[in-house]
Amino acid sequence: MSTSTDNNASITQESGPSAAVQDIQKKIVVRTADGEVFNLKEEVAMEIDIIKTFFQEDSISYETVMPLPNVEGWEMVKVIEYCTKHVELKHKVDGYKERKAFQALFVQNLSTKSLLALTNTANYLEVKYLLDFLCQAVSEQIKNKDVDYVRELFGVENDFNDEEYEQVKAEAPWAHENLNNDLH
Amino acid sequence: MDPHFHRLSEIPLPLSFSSTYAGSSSSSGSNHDDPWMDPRIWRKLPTRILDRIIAFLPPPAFFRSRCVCRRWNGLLFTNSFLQLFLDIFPHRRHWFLFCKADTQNLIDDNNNNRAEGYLFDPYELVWYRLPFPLVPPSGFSPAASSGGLVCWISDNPAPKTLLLSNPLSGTLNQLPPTLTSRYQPSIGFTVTPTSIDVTLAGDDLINNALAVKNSTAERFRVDGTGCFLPTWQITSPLPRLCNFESAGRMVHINGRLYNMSYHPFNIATYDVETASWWDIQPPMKRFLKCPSVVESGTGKLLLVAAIEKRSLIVPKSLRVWSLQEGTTWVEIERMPQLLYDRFGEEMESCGNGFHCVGHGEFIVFMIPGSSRHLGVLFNMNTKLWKCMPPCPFVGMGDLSRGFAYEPRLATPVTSLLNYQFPAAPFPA
Repeated sequence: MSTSTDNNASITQESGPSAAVQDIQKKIVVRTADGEVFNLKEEVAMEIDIIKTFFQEDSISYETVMPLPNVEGWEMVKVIEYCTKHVELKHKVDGYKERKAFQALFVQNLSTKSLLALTNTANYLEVKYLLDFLCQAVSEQIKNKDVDYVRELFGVENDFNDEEYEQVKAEAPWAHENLNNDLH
Repeated sequence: MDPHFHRLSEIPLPLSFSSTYAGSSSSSGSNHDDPWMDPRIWRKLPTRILDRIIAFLPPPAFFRSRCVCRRWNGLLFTNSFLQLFLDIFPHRRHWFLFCKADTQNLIDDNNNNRAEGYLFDPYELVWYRLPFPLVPPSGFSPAASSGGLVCWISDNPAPKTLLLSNPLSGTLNQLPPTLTSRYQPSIGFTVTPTSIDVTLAGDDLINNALAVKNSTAERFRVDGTGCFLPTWQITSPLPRLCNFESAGRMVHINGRLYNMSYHPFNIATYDVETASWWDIQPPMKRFLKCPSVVESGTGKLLLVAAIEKRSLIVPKSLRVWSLQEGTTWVEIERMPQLLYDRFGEEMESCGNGFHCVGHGEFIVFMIPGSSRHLGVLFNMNTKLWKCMPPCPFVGMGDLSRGFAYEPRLATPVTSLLNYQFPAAPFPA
């Protein structure tokens, strides 16, 4: 392992070996429910409040591997992806288009089921902006779906009788009119 | 204790960050092998997260979701859900609201007399017909919209009564009558989660209501600070040479109101706090046609107008300028020439110019009196110009000038008005 003086020398050289540079950046290690281990850059890890609290507020040494028993490996990959991008865009003045393009790609191959799992994870990990984004993404996916689909997706039982259902529907007829949109 | 202060404490404030995170499991459970019912997924999805997803639904989808079950139906009246909804308030929807230009003709298909508007969603390019519960079908006209509320103003040339309506939550609040009798004043209407601020300018009735003159501006404001009495105050005389259109719309940006003045063209600018007026010269003044000031998501004032340069061989065009540094205009956009050829031609044949309204990243252009469906939607972020789908309820040419409307399920700020002016159905 390099000594601290060697590390300092790496900083001042114009082209130092990248491994030495990485040694300088602190890494935080977490282990997900399926045993996968992830090395996070400190600035990304600190976006995840549950991790931030564990290491900073409880003053636990960065050497410790933090267990995340409620998180699957694939979920951690996605969370890291989003937080890394978020940190990168923080320093950009006009990242609007880039953010939008990234967000579209991020959810592109995720089924609604996976989105829901990821939403749950974002809640557990306490990453507010990711939670908001995912809740919005789920609502975008379900907004034109019919009532039966929504009930099945969330495991909700219909406790209306026919009359009550018609009554609720009649309270906002404008929302049920579908003259030129693709409700199904 | 003054009941006013008691009411204020009922206004839900955005939740602190930590309470966003819900604890574990919701209680609904069943164990069949239906692939949707993966127990690991939905059994762990906390109710609060589910509510958050519902809160993000756009209004029509939200109202359809009320049919899912009793709990979801009741969310609209549940404080914790409304607090959640206000918590995600920064997620703005830049929609538009139109009414029929001829507001006397408010009889709908079922021969019911009722006030209704036509909601346009520029994201999905969809129209909805939206009733205004409690708003009387005659005697009032829609005048402005802000923060989810639509302001209706009495038609009579007398002290004006203003009604604030939230068509989604079905509430109606009434302001006290203005101090001055007016005919069709210009209005500046700004609603935030904690304040309601209204300025009316011009069209004062003078000489025992025999004449109309642009004399004064008056203001009404309520907020939580208690610095303002909930009554109208005459704030300032108007500049001598201002010439506003009837029922003009003042655009509010950063504590200033901007109103288009005509003959000659000028932008009358009003600083609300200092109650002072001054003029801003528009660009290309001699060649402007149908100029209007428009708000935008950039926080800068926009001017939209057609250019008709008769003396030079320059194609006629429709342009958008942005006001920089208070006095300099920079042209930022032009309607594509092919599109303007059609648009301009229809405008000429109808003879009424064009209407224009902006909200967030969108600007909508329409031709009043046109029998063809030429509404144009411009997106400032994507720089795309699109033809709007025709309104299925009313011909596009019969629509009033639109309002920048932000659909909001709840507008608790109106409780600031409740203690003195209880919301009561206006006698028909």
